[in-house]
Amino acid sequence: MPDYRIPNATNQPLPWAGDADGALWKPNDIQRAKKGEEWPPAWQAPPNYGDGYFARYTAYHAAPTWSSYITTPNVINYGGNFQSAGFTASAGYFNAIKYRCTSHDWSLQAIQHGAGYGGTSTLHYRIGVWEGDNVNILTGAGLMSDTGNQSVALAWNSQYPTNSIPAPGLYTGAGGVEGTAVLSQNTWYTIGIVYTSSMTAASSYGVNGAGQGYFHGGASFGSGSFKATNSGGTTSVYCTFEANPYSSWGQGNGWPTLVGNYSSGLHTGPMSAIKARVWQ
Amino acid sequence: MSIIITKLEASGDEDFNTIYLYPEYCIIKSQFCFDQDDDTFVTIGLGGGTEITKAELLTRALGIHAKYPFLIPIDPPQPSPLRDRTEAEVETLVDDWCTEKNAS
Repeated sequence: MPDYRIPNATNQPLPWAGDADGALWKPNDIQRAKKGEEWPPAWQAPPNYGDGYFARYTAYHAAPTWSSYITTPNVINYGGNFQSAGFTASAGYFNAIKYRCTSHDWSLQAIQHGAGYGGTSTLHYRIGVWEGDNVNILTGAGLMSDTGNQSVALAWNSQYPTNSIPAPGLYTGAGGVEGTAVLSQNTWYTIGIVYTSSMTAASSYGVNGAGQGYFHGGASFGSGSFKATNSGGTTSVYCTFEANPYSSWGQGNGWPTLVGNYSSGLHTGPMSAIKARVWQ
Repeated sequence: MSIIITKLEASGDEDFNTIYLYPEYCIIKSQFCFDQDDDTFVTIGLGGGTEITKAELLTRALGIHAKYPFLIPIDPPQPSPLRDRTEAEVETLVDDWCTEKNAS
């Protein structure tokens, strides 16, 4: 290793930064230090957020990892199957549920939606996120996120589905990418998925009392540590989510004509979990 | 392996937050016949929990059903409206779960 001097910090303007003994740095010193691998790695801050999932089932919580089978701590899933059969919504029907994070500002990245039941087809949909208790009623900050028209293959594996299609869910951002809109702590947001074309094969859904527990509605429930890692370290954010049925729905605002709610509510629905980022 | 009644155990993560985990003796880490009054559930386990028979599982299921009825769509596969399951349908629910888990 060459006996070159090592700078005492990485955040000083070069080449005028001082080295460890206070001498002035010259460009050639920098080249020599890098060549000698004596240059300290650039410092990077750990993430200022945590990523994870929140499920509506009473028996489950929030956790950083989703799996079709629980094998380790910090992993959640539905704990079983979507026990009911599937639903085949016509164009204009929708499912919706409202969520809030009572501990942090957050971003909704994706919703988990029931997989196929009894066959495969293409699911045509559009997801909106509205501030408040309603679908497509623009009040306050109004529409927070809109995927536009999207489609995805509705998977079917010849048995009760246990997971979303596709994993990790249907993204809620514009154009079908991860949603990034920052949603405020303690504020309800209604998430609606509108079926923009009639479904040709059924999608599965969960129902209360099918043996797997009950959809959670209301009280403080769904706490867990969401996590994110970069080269600066791992950030863990302990957060709490809630879910509840939405209130009502409206027309217009550039959305497809809505026919009505299909299956979501306190007791049933295909939207049983969300993928979210909580901000420190 | 047996049918057991148990509940998630409170534990702490590395930041000392409370998280709830399946006990080690749970072979199947999923839940059946969850009782929201005491947060207990039925699963398959070995060496822990409260071991019960299939008949006792049916008694538990009917007990929960009396408080918080198990629901079923009136016109399946359409998911709504819902109605309460009959006791015979609860028995079928239990039979199907035991068959799936190869439990008796």
